[in-house]
Amino acid sequence: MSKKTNAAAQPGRKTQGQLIWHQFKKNKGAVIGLIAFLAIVGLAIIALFIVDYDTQIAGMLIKDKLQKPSAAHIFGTDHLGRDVFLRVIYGAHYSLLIGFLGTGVSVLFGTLIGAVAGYFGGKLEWFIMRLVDVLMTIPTMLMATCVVAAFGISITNLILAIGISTAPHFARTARASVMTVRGNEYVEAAKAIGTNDFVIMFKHVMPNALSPIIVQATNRVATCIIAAASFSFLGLGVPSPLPEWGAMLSDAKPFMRTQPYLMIFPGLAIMITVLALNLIGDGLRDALDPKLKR
Amino acid sequence: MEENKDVLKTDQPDCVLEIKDLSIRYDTDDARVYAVNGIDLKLKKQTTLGLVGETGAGKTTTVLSLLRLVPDPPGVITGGEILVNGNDVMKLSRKELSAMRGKEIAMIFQDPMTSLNPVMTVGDQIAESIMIHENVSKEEAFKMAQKMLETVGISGDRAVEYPHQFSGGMKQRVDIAIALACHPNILIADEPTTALDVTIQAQVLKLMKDLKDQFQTSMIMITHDLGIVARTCDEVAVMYAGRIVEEGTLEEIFKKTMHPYTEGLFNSLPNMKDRSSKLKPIKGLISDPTVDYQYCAFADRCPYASDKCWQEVPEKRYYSETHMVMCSAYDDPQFHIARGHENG
Repeated sequence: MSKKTNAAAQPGRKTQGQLIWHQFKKNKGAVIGLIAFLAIVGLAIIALFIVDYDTQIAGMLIKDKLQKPSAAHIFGTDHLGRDVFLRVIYGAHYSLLIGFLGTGVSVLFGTLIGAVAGYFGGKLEWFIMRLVDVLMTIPTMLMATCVVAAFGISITNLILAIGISTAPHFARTARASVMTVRGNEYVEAAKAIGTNDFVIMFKHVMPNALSPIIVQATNRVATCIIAAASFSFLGLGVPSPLPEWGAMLSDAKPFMRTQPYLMIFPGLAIMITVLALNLIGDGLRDALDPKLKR
Repeated sequence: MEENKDVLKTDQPDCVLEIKDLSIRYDTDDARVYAVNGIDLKLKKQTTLGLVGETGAGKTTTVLSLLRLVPDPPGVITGGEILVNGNDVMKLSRKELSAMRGKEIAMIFQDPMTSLNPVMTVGDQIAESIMIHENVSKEEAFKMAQKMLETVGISGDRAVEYPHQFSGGMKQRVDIAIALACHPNILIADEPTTALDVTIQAQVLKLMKDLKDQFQTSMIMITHDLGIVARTCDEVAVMYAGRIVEEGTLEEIFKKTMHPYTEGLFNSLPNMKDRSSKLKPIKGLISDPTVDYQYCAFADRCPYASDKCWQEVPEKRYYSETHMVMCSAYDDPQFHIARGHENG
């Protein structure tokens, strides 16, 4: 009996991760997105080694200013003579950092309160969800402006501002997802063997409720990158001379008519990163959806 | 109360579970559902009690209440006592409840496809129960889980696999392994074979029976399949509309059927001796659970119903120490149901 079942189980041994990857691979767009994203991350890491921050990012080389793209400066140079290509790839750090940490903060807070609301229900849920509703009525831009105005301009504050203002979306997703999972028989089965609520929530409910949250998070990273760029463009984000893409756009404003490449390249960087992340998000959504299996 | 407990302990040393006058209802916004209406049940040591009845009769609600797992809200236990090994379940604290669930009473669920967590290995799921109740390390618990898997006929190597790598019958075996992991003395099986195909049903039932003897467990078997009852149970309680309408030993229920509803259940089985005979289903639909019946709930479907049935809840009549029937028709000493006692 047991011999038979062992033989039957051998060929199909795949972990959850392998199954998801197998499904993800089928989506060409997602794979292209992943490659583009890895390329950006790779360039950002290379930039750390080849770029000398003091001279090439924060320095000034006035004699080289506003050069057109050439072999020496493939993206040209800006009004202070700095190489735009190096600034763009170095700037990827800030965008990615703000994008991922901002989303991280958002997912952490949002998912936690959403999961608690969804799992326990009742008055606690009512209270949490009304609080979330109130937070949702405040526009992200306004909220983040207030945070930055109150605590000063810095990357940390920007991350917190973006994280907190988008947390309500995760709270809603997490709540809805937890509520569906909560009704499953294995949750009841876990209760029937004496598992306590805390363990049930983190060991049985959360892992099964995560997939919509993961998908939303990938798309949210892209939104956060755009938000960070917008804030920097408005002068509320990353302080100069750090080469954040939004700040670069802002710096390039006066030269828009004469040197359009100053805006085009950081703009393209934002576009490609966001597009890549959205493609990955779509791919993950399909890969994590059990209804689309096989 | 304390006194009461002692009396029970001394009076019925063989009784592991006793339900007294238990009533449960569900209060929802649009209706009040009377799921269980004052039932009494006793489960003797190392016996199997079959709880039989149609969908919606209150079988599952009854057994969920033993673990205090009736969802609240909307479920409200409006009265009665549940004594598990002499302790009143209603009075246990959260912690005591947690210690009791899985250790004293364990449950096997209806659908093995949904009662296992898809993102945890089966070994971890069995070990989880062991770790809650026994003072062992993670590694030891996992080893015990592997042993448990072997007990239910699955190779211990497969403990690292996920539920989707198992077939339905295998998953039900895993469910059984989880339930028996801490050697509970009461096992509740809520239609454990309904979701399995017939060939696997027989295997799983045999396994449950063997393990029940091996672990000296008492069992409540919920089912609507009288064939399963005949194969596994020592005693049978027939439920209708939240009440136990007939109760007795397997022999009494099958050979000396008294309640018209039980008769109806037997009549709706295909007759193997005369295969051209028509099935005789019980006419009508199961009673409306939102009505608080102050008369016999079966009266409108009962071929023997008289005016009296519509006036009061029938009282319990005992025809032997174990055989109880709740039916007013037996006021007439000449009354007997149509079903011959020899077939069954």
